[in-house]
Amino acid sequence: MTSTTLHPTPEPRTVAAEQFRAVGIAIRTEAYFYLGALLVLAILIFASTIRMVHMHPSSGGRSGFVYGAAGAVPIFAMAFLIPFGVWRSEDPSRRAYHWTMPVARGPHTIVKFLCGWAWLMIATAVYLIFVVGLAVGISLITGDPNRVAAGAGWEWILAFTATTLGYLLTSIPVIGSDHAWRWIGGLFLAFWVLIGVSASFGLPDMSIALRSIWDGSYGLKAAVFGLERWGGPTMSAWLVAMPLWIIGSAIAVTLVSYRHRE
Amino acid sequence: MLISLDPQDTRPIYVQIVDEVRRALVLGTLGADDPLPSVRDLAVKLRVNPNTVSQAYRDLERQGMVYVRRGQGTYASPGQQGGAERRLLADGVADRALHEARRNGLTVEELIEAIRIHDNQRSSEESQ
Amino acid sequence: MTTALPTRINGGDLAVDTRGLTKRFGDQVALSDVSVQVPVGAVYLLVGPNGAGKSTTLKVLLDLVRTDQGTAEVFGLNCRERAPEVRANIGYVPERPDWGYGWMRVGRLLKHHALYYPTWDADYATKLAQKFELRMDRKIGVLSKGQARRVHLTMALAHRPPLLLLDEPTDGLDPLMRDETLGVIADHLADSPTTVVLSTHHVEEVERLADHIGVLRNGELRAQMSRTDLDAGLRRYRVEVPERWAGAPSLNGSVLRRVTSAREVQWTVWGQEADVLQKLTAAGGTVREVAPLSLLDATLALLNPND
Repeated sequence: MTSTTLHPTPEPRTVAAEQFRAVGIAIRTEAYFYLGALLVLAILIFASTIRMVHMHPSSGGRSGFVYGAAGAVPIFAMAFLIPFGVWRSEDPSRRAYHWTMPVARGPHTIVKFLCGWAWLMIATAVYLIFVVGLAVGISLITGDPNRVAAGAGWEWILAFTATTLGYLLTSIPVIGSDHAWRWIGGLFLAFWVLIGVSASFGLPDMSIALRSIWDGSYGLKAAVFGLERWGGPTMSAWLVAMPLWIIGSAIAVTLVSYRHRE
Repeated sequence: MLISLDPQDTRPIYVQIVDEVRRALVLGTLGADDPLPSVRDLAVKLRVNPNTVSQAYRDLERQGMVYVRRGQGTYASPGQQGGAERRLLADGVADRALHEARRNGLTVEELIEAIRIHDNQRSSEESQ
Repeated sequence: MTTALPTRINGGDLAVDTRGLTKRFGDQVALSDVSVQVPVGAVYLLVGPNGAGKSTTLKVLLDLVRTDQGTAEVFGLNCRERAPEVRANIGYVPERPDWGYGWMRVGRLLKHHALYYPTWDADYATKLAQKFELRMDRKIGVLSKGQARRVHLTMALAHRPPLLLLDEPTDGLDPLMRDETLGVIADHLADSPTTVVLSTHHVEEVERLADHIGVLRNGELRAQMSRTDLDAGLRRYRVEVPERWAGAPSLNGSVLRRVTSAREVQWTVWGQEADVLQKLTAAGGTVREVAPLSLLDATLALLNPND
C-alpha cells in the first residue's frame, strides 16, 4: 500500500538478554543489601563459633548445624522483596515506557518477570554456596568435619522452590497494582479478620478452611517449607502443596501481565 | 548570500524564499553561477520544512532563476540582474504599496503623488 | 454554528489513518468520532486546548489507549492488532517527563533503547546527544523536565522511524534549546523521509515546519486540512460598512470571527476569496483589506470561533 520501508521489531533473544541486564541493574540495591547481610551473618556465625570453641574446647556436638528447610527462610524473605526492585518506579500507572516498546505487552512483562526470576535463582544458588562455605568454615574452626550435617537433598532443592514461590506471590500485586503493599497488607488483614470472625461467631468449618490455607496439606506453609500443622518438614507435604501454589500463582502472574491498563 | 524570513510576513514560506532569492539575484549579492545553500542547510537554518525549501527551489528553477547541477546542488543562473527580474521585484513592491494604500483609503494617484513628494524631499536632504 | 470547514484529507498514501475514534474515561468524553488522516511525509500539527484529546489520539496509535469505537492504522497496520510492528516504526516523545527507567543512567538508557530498535544509528545518537548537551552519567529520574525531554527526543529520533509522534516536544525547554530542537527536527526531515505528527501550544514555532493541521476541541476534530488549503481558504477581511449595516447573511456560517465597530468590521471568513469578496460587496460593504492569517491566528479562529 505505501512505499515506506517498514522497520522490523527486535529479536526476542535480544530483548530477553537486554531485560536480563536491565533487571540486574535495577536490583543492584537489593543485591548489595543481600550480600552485605550475608557477610554480616557469616561474621556473626564465625564469631560465635570461635567464642564457643574458646569457652568449651571439648563441646562436641554443640557448634554445628544441620541445613534444613528452615534454612530457606532468609532467602525466601529476600525473594518476597525482589519484585519491588524488578519493577522499581514502574507501577502500572507509570509503566508506559515498557508498554511502548515494539514488543507485545503481555509477553514483554512476562520476560521481565522471568529475568527477575533468573537473577533470583542465581542469588539462591549463591546463598546455598554461602551455606556450604559456612559449614566448611565452622568445620575448620571447630576442627571437626562432622560438626555440620548436610540435611536431606530435597531440602536444598526446596530453597529454589521457596524463593520461586515467594517471588511469584509478590509479583502478582506488584505487576498488577499501583499499591502492592496495600494489597499485601489488606490480604493479611482480611485473612486474620475472617479467622477472628469465624471464631467469634462459632463457624468452625470456615475457621478450619481458612487455617488450612496456611497450614493445611495444601497450605502455604507446606508449599514453601514442607511444614504441616504439626511436626517438621516432610518431602511429601512439600511435593503435594508446592506445585499447586506455584502453578496457581504463575497463572495469576500471567493474568495480571496480560491485563490491559491505561 | 543571506536568506532570512520576516516573521510578520503571512505569505506562504516558499513564496517568501523565492522572493528573497530573486532580491539577492537582482541586488547582486547572489552572483552568476554562485551556489545556493543546500535544501537541507537552508531548512535547518530557517527552521523550515525541507519540502518547502524544495518547492521554492523548484519554482526558482522553473522560472529560470537558478539551475541544478546533478549531484552538486543548485546554482544561480547568469544574467539575472536584467530588466525582467527588476520588473518582477518592482511588481512585488508595488503590490504591497497598493495594498497599504487601499487599506488607508487612498487612490492610486494620491499614492503616486505622495511617492514623488517623498522622493524629492529625500533627494534634497541627501544633496545637503 | 455550522461551517464548511474541511475535516477530511483525501488522496495519497496515509501514514496515519484513524476512523471514528471514540473514547470515554468514565463520564468524560476524551475523543468523539475522530478521523485523523496524515499523509506520508507530512508534518501534521495537532492543535487544541488542554484536554482536547491530542495526547489521547497519539496514545491510541501506540495502543496505550484502547478506544470504545473506531479503528486506527499506521502505514496500513492496525494499531491494536499489530501493535508491536506499529510501534517499531514510531518514535514517540511523550508529554510526561517520567519516561524510561528513572533509575537508569542516560547513557545506559540510550543503549537499552537502541537494542529494541534494530535501525538505531549510533553515530546519529551520539551527534544528537552532543547537540542536546545530554549528561550521560546522570540518572534520568533526577533530570529536570527539559533535560529529560532532550533525552526523549534523542531516543525518538536516533532510530530514524518513519513516523514521529511528538507530544509537546519543546515543553520545558529554554528558548535556545527550543530553537535547537526545531533545527534538529528540520535537519532530521531533510535526512530521512519522515512523517511527523506534533502537538504543541507553541504554534508560532512550528509555523514553518507544519504543512498540515488538525484542530481538536473537546474531543472533536473541528477541521483538518493542508496548509495550502488553509492559506487559500482563510482570510481576514477589513470592510467599511454603512451605518446600521444588516450584515451579510449569505456568509452566515462561514464567518469565524467578527470584530465590529461603528463603520468598520473585521471578519475572519472561511471561503474562496473571490466568492467572499463578491458577497461582501453585494451586501453593501467596501472591502479595504484582505489579509492572510498567521498560523497562530488561523488556529485561534478555528478553535475559538466567536460566532
